[in-house]
Amino acid sequence: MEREEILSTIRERIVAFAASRLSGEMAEDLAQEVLLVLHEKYRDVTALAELVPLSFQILRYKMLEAHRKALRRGEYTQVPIEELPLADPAGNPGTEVEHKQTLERLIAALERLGPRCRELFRLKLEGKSFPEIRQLMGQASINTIYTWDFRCRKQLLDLMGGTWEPGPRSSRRRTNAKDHAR
Amino acid sequence: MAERDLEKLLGGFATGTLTEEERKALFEAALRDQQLFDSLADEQALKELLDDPVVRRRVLEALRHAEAKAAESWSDWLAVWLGRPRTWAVAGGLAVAVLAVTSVTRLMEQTGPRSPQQAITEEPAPAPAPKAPAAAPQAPPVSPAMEAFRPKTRSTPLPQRDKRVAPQEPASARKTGPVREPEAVRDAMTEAKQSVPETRMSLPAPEQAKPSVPAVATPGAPTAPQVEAPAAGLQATAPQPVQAGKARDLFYAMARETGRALTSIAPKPLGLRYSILKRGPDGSFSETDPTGPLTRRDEWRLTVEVNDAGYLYILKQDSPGIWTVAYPAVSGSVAEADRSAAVQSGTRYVIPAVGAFRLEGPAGATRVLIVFARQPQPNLRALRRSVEPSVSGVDQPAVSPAAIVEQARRDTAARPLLFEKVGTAAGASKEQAVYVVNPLPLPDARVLAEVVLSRQ
Repeated sequence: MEREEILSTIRERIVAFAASRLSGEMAEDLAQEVLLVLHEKYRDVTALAELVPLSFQILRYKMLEAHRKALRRGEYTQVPIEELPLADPAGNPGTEVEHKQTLERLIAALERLGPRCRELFRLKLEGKSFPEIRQLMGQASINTIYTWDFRCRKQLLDLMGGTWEPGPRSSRRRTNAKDHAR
Repeated sequence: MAERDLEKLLGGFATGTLTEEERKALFEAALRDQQLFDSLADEQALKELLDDPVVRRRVLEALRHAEAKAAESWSDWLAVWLGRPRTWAVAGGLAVAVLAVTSVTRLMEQTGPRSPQQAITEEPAPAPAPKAPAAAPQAPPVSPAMEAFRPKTRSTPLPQRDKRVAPQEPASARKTGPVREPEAVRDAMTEAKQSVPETRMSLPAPEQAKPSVPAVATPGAPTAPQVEAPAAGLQATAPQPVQAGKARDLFYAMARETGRALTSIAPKPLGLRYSILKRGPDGSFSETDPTGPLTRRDEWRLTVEVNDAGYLYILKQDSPGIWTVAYPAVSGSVAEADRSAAVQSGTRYVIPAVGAFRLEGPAGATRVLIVFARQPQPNLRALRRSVEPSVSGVDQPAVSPAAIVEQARRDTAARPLLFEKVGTAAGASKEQAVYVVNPLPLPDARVLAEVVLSRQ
């Protein structure tokens, strides 16, 4: 798959994703901004396995910033997204606080997991691949590890409140975005 | 990996543990599948968090600490749990339960093999009916007493032939009336007959001296059972401990305690002793082998002794299908019937009170069914009345002795029983009797024995 073709597909996916999380108008803009960054800063990246995670990273950054700016201004409806200045995450006190809070939530949730899930998560953080984890946990099938990981991740997500994002639930953000659309 | 299974790799995306092949497969699938793409985009937040080396180290420390804490908490919980008084109460309760189960198991083992042909049983006796079945002329075909004898789960009615009213034949010299036995029961009894000798002859025969049969006392009334020696004489001749069996020991242990005083309210094992008296050449009756054959000319009596106060009922079958009530001889009202069936420990009852039995009917065996219970048996009381309609003067509901026998046999097969035959067929021992004891001390216990007298 060629780079242009990959980017085109990524754009479609980003628009659909952002529309489900924010609004249709913002989704188009977000997709455009992500592609702009990919075009300007990552022109040499052509592999699919690199472009896709890169797009996720940029997309999340753009969405987070848009959300923060809207919150700071008090209302979503007053400032178009293109007029919002892009913030630098480095050295941002708000970002650091959110980062710390998310970490605390994550640790608290991990402590409430079962022993098997905790062990699995620990092995993953230690850099073990799934085949290695299968051997370490004494399982015959790799699918058993996949299934355990899928369930543990779901349980962890539930314990985190349904989202990995810091602050309020994403559903609340979606509600605000719908208000903005009106 | 199948397309639908690629989402299982999501967990590896955030922690960065996917292989290159897995990463490529996952991202290709994400471009084709919007849902997977959305999931990955959502997972990006966790990935960024865990990509921070400081965060990763802190999370790892927290996980290791949690695992160590879990291991410690288990030992701490065990220590706290053991320190609670309630724990010791539970442990003590469990220990008592284990001891109780062990004791009951050993007691069951002591009962030894059971002989279904001795037909001993006990079951919670049905409460006495407030009114006698005879008092209701329009009574249903099946008496309430028989209904009480049926298993609770039985939904089908008794066969019609079991409901037949006893024939209105005149009372015999023993004032008993015949009742026809169903064919099924007759077949069952014929089948059971084949195993009786083997079972009984396998019983141990202790060699110790046994209490001699007391002299026969003069009966008080023509219809009352003949009463033998009182309890004092029985205690004076109490046997030495018998090593071969336990039924006799249990029987006399209870009889001795009853003879002293009823200081203990708790019921003791219920038992009975029966023997067959045969008239000798000199005209006197002496005990003979209960399983030994008799001739048509032999005159015989049945003696029954119980180890506690209760109610005694005896049925006799001379011919297949014909049952007569040998004891109690008095019927009438409910109170009268119960009084006539009441027996005391330490007294040896001789049946019949006057005269003697002979093996009657066609060739075959005569069967005697002995039922002894702490509580009156309404079904047997009604049976007595049903075979003697002339006593009450009204039609009685049909009560089949065969049905009672059949029910008793079924109950016997499920109960722990203890029986012991004392004496030898050669007559070396003076006492020749059979002891039947229910080892479970139940307030409504019942003991049932079936005696088979074969014709020589």
